Amino acid sequence: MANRDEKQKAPVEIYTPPNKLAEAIGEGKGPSLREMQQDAERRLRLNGAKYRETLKASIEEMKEHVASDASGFDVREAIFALAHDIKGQAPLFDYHLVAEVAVCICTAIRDVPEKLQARPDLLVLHVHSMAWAFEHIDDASKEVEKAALIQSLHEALES
Amino acid sequence: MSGSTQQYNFRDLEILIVDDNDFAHNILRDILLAMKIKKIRHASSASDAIHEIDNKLPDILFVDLLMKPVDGFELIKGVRAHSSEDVRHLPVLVITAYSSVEHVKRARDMGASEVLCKPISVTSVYDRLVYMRNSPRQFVKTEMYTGPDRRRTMRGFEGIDRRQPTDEAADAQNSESDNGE
Repeated sequence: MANRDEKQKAPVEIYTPPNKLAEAIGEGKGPSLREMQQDAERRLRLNGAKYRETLKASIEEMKEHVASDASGFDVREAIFALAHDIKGQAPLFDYHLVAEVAVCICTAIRDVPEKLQARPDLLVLHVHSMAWAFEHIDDASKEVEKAALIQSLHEALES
Repeated sequence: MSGSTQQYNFRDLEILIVDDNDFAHNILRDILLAMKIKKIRHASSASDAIHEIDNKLPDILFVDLLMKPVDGFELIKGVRAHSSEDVRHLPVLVITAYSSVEHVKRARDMGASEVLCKPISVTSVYDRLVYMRNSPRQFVKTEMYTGPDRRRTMRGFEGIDRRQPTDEAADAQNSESDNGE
């Protein structure tokens, strides 16, 4: 009770700092949002080929990690970091299914680490699923498998 | 906000991006260049960021959370505890692929001004900058915390990860609406 009283008496200062963003961001005279969007799309398109290589390298790195020791904590953390980046970047370049698998990997590593330690094959499955999604990104003959991929990963984790 | 006819000029805005992933930095840079923002600096670690800030104060920090060896949470905490008042008052926009309630709350508790979840777009960055410009947050200073008033729900958190709907996220959104600090 005494602690609570002391806490309540602790000084609290509330104030509004100078709004420097209002000074730095002026009104009017800028390009329209549509113009900005078009310019950004053009710039991102130019980066598309480079991102494909970056993504491919990240997936290869994940495969190497799981091949070395899929049950290790450090390996899981390294894979988490790679998947986390993919989750944030891949959708911008239309690798939506790859990004969804990345979300599954991040969720599994954080939510069920004990299960992944006991069943390292599950992490291997997720990483290889990402590689598969990447390889078949433009393969129209695999649409059925692509549509079922995420659900099958969820089911594998629940098994 | 993006539906408004009001135009803004970002030409004079100076941004320090703190992200240890080069490609993430490139993406953000492209988006900012498309917004005609030319004053873009980059730090690849929390210690580099503090060094850059001490050298020259930017107008705003863009901070990723998952970094090594010091993560974005600790960087924000360091900014809010800085000896310089100008640094403590820096607007901090967290740009992260973390989209869970837990991470957004933790970023807020460290002193983030707003949170933007990846993947980002021109529209989302534009909206957030305009919002931060037009709705500056009050600061709270106590023995334990200096930073934006946490009683106001951050706009960043429309924030449940809709890719991963969970009961926990729904509960937390309700508690955010209730403003339960």
